[in-house]
Amino acid sequence: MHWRTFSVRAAAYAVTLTVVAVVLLSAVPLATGGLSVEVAEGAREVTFEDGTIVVTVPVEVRNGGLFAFRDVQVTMRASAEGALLAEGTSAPRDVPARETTRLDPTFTVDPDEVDHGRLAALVFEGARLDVEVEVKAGYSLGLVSTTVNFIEPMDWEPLVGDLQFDPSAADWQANGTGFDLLLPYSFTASELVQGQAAELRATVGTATAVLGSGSTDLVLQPSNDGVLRISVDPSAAASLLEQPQELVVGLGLDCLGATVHFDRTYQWEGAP
Amino acid sequence: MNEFALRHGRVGRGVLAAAGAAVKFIVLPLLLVLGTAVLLVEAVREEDIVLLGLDALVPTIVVLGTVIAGLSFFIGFYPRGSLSRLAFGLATAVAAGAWVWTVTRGGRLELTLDAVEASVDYSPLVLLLLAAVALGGLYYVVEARTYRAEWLAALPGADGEDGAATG
Repeated sequence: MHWRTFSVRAAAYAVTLTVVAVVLLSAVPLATGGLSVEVAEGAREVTFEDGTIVVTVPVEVRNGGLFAFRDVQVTMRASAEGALLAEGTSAPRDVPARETTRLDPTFTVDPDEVDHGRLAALVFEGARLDVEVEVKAGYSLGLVSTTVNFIEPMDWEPLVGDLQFDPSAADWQANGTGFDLLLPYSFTASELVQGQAAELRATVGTATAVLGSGSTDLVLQPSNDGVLRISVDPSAAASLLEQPQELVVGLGLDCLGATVHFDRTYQWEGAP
Repeated sequence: MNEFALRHGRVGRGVLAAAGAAVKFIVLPLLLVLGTAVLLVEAVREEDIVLLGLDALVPTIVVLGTVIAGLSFFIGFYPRGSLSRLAFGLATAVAAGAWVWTVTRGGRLELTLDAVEASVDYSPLVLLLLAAVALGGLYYVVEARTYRAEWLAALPGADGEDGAATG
């Protein structure tokens, strides 16, 4: 065989054999169970930093192949009822061959950027979040790139819960021109938001008119029990003291930019 | 002179070339597919193998491989330096390129296994394989140029001039 024909054929075989070798050494070990991407069990971490909720969902990538994964990036998108709440991407990182590497992608939920209704649900009611995990990586000397997507459900515990108040247990106190209604309340705050500021607001009135209001600023504790003072307008106080009637007490709590509001009716029996 | 005349060829060499192509484009790929399927049976479920489309690869490999083996017969059949061998060599390279592109699905694989969606882009590998196929086609061009004069000189009654042979 002439050297020219030999060199061309040798080059063709060399390229083919290189590709076959790469496939056999890389793709086959991975396709036969050498690759797994899993969310680390029980390792989720939720913190509150600089006014935003930071969620870390560690992902373990196991590389059972013979080549390192290059520039592995994990992107997470958290959504509730189909609406995107937050998105975050981890820094690119290599996953060496024959090793399991843990990546810690984080996403932040900025209360200012979340729809108020949805934020209120997150803060006061809890939710079931769908966390879409997307892992991108290069492999086999950069000749293969892959993307893996899966949905990881995440139960979101309410940040503020068990808000309770009972107008029928409210006391009253003369204040000179009228009187104050002393409304006992209680609620709990998760560890995540303890130390954050909150505002509790209340109104008292009839079905058609507000007769008084009050508010108080709080620093959230694990358990928040207290009495909220609602000042009743002097003009309304006289009639209230004299005649029993049905009243509506509204209680609102502002926290992390979200608001929750409850109304309770009760029968005012007049001054004792 | 008709360079495609059957009297220029040797059936034995054609059969050997066809057999070689059959091994390369049918037997070895089928063994690779079946071997991969066997390995996957231990790693994943049977329905996942169906999702990978390994079973659908078998008829593709057989049909296109048979076409390549048929064309390869004429590569071996005709002697080096002949235009007929060059023509079948280039046709085989084109068919091999189609084989590579079809069997590798263009270098992209989309999978959905349970709740996991995966896409694999191995188009650089496919391009390398197509480059190897192109080199295979180039080989017949280089071979024709290299052995042209030699073949013409070996023709009975020929004076070895290229113009006489191709005219």
